[in-house]
Amino acid sequence: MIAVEAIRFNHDVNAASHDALNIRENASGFSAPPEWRRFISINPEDSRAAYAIEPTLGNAITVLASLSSTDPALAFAEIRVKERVKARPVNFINGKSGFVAFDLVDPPTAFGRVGVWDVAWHWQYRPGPRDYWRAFDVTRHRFYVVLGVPTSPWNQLPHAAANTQLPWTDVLDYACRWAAGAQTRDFAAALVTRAVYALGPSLVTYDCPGGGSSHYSWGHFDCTAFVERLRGGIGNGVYVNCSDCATIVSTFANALGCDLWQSRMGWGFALNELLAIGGHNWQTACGWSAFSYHEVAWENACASGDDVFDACLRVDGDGDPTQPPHVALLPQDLTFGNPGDLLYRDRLATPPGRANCNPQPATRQRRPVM
Amino acid sequence: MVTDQLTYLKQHYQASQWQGGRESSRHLVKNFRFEGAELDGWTLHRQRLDDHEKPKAIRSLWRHEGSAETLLAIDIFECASIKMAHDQLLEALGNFETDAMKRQTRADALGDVAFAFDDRVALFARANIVVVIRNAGRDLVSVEPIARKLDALIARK
Repeated sequence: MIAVEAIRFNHDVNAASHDALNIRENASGFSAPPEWRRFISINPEDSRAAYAIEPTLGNAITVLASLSSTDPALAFAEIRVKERVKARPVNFINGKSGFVAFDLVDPPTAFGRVGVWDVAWHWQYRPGPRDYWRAFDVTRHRFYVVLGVPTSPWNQLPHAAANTQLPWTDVLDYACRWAAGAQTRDFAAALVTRAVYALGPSLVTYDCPGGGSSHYSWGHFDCTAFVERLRGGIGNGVYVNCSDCATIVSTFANALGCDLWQSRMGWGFALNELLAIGGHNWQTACGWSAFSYHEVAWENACASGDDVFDACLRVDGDGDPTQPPHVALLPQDLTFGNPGDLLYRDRLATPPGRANCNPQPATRQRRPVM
Repeated sequence: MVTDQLTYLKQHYQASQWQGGRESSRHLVKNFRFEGAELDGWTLHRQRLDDHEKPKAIRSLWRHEGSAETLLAIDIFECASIKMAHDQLLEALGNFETDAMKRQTRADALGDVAFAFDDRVALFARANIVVVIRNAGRDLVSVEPIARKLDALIARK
């Protein structure tokens, strides 16, 4: 009998060009490869690997598999996973193969799209090239596909339990589904923005009772609490503000390889009517006439000419954002703009308020996850 | 916090009238922790010490025993001095999007310096400690009785 003993998807922790990314489960969960182990890994979520499209482009992607054989007469066999892993000869010495490299057929990144897939690999062997392929094992895995190597706050090194900023599968589970199908960074970030806004009002809503304070992003990003909330738990409660939304969007989008920042505008500016996350009525935020500051997920230098992604509110997208009727527009990849441009700034702030609604790129940051 | 925002907040909340204060002879509070029995009718759901922050912060979430949808977020910042507590109070005000926080100036106001937003948010400095109390659940409660209890607790330490 032949069996798969272990599979390593991430076999080069210093690169992501031929194998999977360095990842961890969450702030407390870290497992060193092999990602799949016999008798331990049963369901797809027990064996996870994340691949980045950009660095693997044009490269063969390999996995390392360790096999065993209890047949003392079998010293050599061809092994494959039909339609998933290319066949290759494997030698068994004293019933063990050690880790051997296999090339993937149509690897998860081949479609060029963000996504998450649960797969079952049906392993087969044949003693010789004229024999029939015989099934010997099934292994199950969850594959995440992101556009590029995750950017800050996420990092790839060191690949160690102490590095809590390795991309979390708890985050990829959501980010890859929210942005499924995206082939560009802007599209992925836009889909994440849309998904976060759509969390209201059932999971989160704007913090009108609390004056619009940060519940998840005061200091570091309490991503653990936010994921708990996504899963139906208490988290840090139901309320969010702009900093929370900016941090959630940029952190989840950056896990996909986007390159967003959290950055503020201000200070003290009057508002047009808007639809805050979780809200149903057009009004200046919670009826307040002004924002002390506002924060969004922002590209590049977080300046007037750069694009914003704001999951905290929808603005009026028509020709006159200062009065009804309103056409709800969720700011996704919308340039911040200058007064009179009829871009994000004009849609958010009243004409007199626009002079105080200025990009504050000195506030640009990426809060670490915890 | 960046200088521009700090300048705006100082002006908007008239910090010159309260910031800095006088270092009293009262001793500074050190190593504040919740034990869980401080607030009648409330269960300490979670407490976390964020010592990577400056000043170090205790983030806590409390559940009302009568309703799962009634939650309070209580954050405690332990500063090195009274002056730094007032700086931290300003920093905390900078994490509220509204500019409508109101300073509490009555004789029975909380702490040494206090702000509120309706009765849903209380924000005050007592000695070197800054306390921020907010609703975190859909069923809202007045935070004032809780704030008074905590203020008295800190004053006794």
